[in-house]
Amino acid sequence: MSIIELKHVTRLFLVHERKGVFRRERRTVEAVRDISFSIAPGEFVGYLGANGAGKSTTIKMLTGILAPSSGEIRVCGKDPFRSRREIAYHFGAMFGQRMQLWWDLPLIDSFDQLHYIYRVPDDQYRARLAELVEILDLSSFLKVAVRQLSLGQRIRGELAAAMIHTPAILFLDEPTIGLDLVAKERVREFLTQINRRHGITIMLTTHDMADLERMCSRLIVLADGQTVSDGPLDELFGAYKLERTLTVDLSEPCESMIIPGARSVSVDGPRQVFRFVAQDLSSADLIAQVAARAKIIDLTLKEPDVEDLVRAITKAES
Amino acid sequence: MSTIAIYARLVRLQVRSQLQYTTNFLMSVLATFLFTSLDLATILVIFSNIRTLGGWTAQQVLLLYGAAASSYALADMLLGSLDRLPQLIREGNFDSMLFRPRSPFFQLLASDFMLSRGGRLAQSIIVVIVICTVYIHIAWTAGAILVLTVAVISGAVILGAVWVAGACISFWIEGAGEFVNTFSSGALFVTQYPLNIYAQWLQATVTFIIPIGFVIYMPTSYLLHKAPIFDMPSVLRLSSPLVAGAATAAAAALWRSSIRHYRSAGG
Repeated sequence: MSIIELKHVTRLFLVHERKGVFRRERRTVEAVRDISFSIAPGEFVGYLGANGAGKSTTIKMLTGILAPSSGEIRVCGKDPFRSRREIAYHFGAMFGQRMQLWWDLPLIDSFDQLHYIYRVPDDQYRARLAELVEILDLSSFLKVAVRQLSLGQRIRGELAAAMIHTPAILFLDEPTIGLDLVAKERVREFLTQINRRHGITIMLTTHDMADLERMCSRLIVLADGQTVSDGPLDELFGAYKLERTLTVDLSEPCESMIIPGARSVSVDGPRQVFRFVAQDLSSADLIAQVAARAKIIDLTLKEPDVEDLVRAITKAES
Repeated sequence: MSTIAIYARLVRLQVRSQLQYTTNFLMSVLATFLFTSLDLATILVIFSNIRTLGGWTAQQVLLLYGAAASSYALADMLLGSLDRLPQLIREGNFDSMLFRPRSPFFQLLASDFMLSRGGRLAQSIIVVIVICTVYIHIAWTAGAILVLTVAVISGAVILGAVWVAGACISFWIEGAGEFVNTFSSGALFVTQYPLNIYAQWLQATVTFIIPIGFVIYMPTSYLLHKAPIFDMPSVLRLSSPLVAGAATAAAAALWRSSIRHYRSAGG
């Protein structure tokens, strides 16, 4: 029995394009094309794709904000667009940069307000709030107006706000964006905990590799409005060898170096860029080999990020 | 808790938080006070050059202004948050009102309640009472009080319906915010002078198409025994509650269909 189900879902948008001063052309764009997948209760799914791949459109259809142009969607067994108000009790949502809290009111007032909006019984609300305040460590700023909170505090507040009515599903769009490392860890810990302890189904989009590694058990990857990959995280990570990037600045311009296990991506004066797979070559080894041939002044090492993963999967599957 | 009770609660919370910033609050009350005074001064300047405007004396126009401004202030106090709609839509924040299990309309109205708008209402009502008592010598019979009160409330409802209809445009056309604002300030300007001074087509438009003429002009001209425009039966000028009902129904239908059309920002 799945809690989220999409069958051959397509969503078209009509866009107007300017052609010259007076001429405008109408064109339909498929934001999402024939997507099908289902998610079981308690899964923690990373929903990935390049910008404009159709992630937000999917989430908006799942939350009943947009209707699909064709196909069928079921969330908790119901059509979200038709039963928007009803479905609202079953999910919580947090869209990174978008505010759900009341800007001028103390955080606690927003929570109180949401408990009435979602018709949460008083005793249940008090217990829930106490739990959220404890795991998200909100007690020190509960009475502070939302506009005076730091980003990290606000995000924690938003997360709690999305959880007040004990939803079965949580939709999260970039929940850790802009947070410092400590705050990120705290958010991840919280999400993992509610997923394991309460069996809440979570679907999240992110640009942070660590978010995926630390929390998700399954990845669904979108490209150009279609699902290109869907499977357990470990399998996907094993199947696609992701490259690290080493950028070195040498004391003087130098010819492109040939080093086994690494490929030279660009040579720009004294700056050279290499890509390599961690399993084939260690970074220490690569740096030593470069240093043996030229004097290194500066270097940076970049781990593969979510964009690299999405790019690799998209390339392999299309 | 009912949606209305939740609305009232949120309004109370915002009022409480706004009262904490006393200076800020007093400044905005002072600003609206200056605004109202400027409007009054404009009318007096006009009448320092002419005796009557469309057959209306300065005092009568001041009454019209005061009553229209009361309607406007009442509508603005309750529906002022509509101004935020274009921005909410553009930034995608309207989404969060849609995925909560309550009417998005009331969530929107409750999102930005400003107590200082109440200051304007108080000032306008005072203008009406002073003008009526001191200059026009209206006998404060139960009938006159009823006509004025019903007129101001129905007027506010009609203005509100027109604003809601205007705000709906931002669901259909991106960046229509300017248009919406023109709508609300234009509405006030048209209602505060006697309609019969305008060109026929404008009179017809604000009487039959966008019924702003019914906001205050019709009942006030009845109260002051003026000749009705378009030779309409005199009593028809008291039909503003009916017009308010019809306008509300039309605005509500437009709002619902606009929400269905809504496609949200940010792909």
